[in-house]
Amino acid sequence: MAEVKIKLFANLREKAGISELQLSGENVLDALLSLTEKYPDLKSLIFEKPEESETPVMCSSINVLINGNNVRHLEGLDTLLSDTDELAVLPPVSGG
Amino acid sequence: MNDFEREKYNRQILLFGEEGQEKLKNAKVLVAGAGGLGSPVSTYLAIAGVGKIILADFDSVDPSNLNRQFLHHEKDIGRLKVESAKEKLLSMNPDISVETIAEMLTESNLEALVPECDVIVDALDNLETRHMLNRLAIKRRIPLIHGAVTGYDGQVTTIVPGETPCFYCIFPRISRKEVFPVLGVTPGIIGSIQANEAIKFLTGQGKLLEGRLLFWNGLSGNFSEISLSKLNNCPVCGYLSKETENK
Repeated sequence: MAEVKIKLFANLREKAGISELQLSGENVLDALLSLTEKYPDLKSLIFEKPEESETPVMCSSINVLINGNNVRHLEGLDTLLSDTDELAVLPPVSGG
Repeated sequence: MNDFEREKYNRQILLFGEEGQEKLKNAKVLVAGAGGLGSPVSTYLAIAGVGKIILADFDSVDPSNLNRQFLHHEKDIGRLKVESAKEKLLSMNPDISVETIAEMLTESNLEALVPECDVIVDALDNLETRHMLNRLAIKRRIPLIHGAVTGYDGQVTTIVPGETPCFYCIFPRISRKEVFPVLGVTPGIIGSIQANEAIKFLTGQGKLLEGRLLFWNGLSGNFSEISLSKLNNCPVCGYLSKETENK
C-alpha cells in the first residue's frame, strides 16, 4: 500500500469541503474508492453510474493526474501508486 | 511610435520600455473565441496596443451571453460576435487592426483560415476545437495559452511546443460540449490571466505558466496550481521533444 496525497479541484473540492487529503491504496482505483467512501457525494461525479456497474468506470470527463501525468496515458484505474505520489482529481472545466 | 501613442501607453512603457511597446505593435495574436474568455482577452490585448488581433468565432450574440461576454451589448443580439467585438475593440483602440474569422474552425479549413501569428489564445468553449488548435500550435511551433471556465472555477496554462506538455498530454479525452453554469467574473479573471501571459510572452517579460496548470476557485477565493509532465512519445508533440534531444 502506498501513502499518497490527493488534491481535489472545482466542484469536487466544494462537495468534499476539503482541498487535499492523505489516503492509501495500491492503485488509482483503491485511492478513488477510499476517497468516495469518505466523501460519498463525490461518487457520482467520479464514477460512471456507480449504482449499476460492478466494476467501477471513471467518468469520461474526469481527469486524474499522478505527478502531472494523466492516468489515461498510463494504466488508467489500474495504475500503481508509490509513496509520495500526488494525485490531482480534475472535474471537467471546458467552458469559455 | 508617435507622441500620442507614447502618451497612451505611457504606464506600460514604464514597465517594458518603448522597445516592448514596439514588440506589441508588431505582434499578431489569434484569439479563438469571442465569448466569455475572448471578451477580456481581446480587450486587454487591444488596449495594450497589440498590433493585430485575429478573432475567430462563428456564433451570433444570444441574450444568454450577456452576463459575461461584455464586448456584446443588448443592441448586438443576433449580430455576428466577431463583428460586434471588432466594433468595440476598434472604438477602444483605433490604432490596432482586427481581422475576423466568422467560419467554424474545422480540421480541413483550420490551416487555410488562420493566418500567420505569434501566439494563439484558447478562448474556446469546447474540447474538440481545443485539440485542433493544439495540433496547429504544435505544427507552427507557437505558444498556445489555454483557458477554460465553469461556474466559479477556471484554469489556465501556457503550452510552449517542445518545451511543455501539449494539450493532448494533459487532457487526451474529448467530452461533448454542454451548457455550463458560469458567473461573468470567472472568465473575467481567467481571460485577464491569459492576456497577461500573451503580453509577457510578446514582450519577453517574467515567467510564463509553462508546465503549470493554475486553478482559480471563486467561492473560496483561492488560486492553486499543479505541475504537469510531458507524455513520452506523445502522438501530437512527441516529435518536437526528440528534435530537442538530438540537438
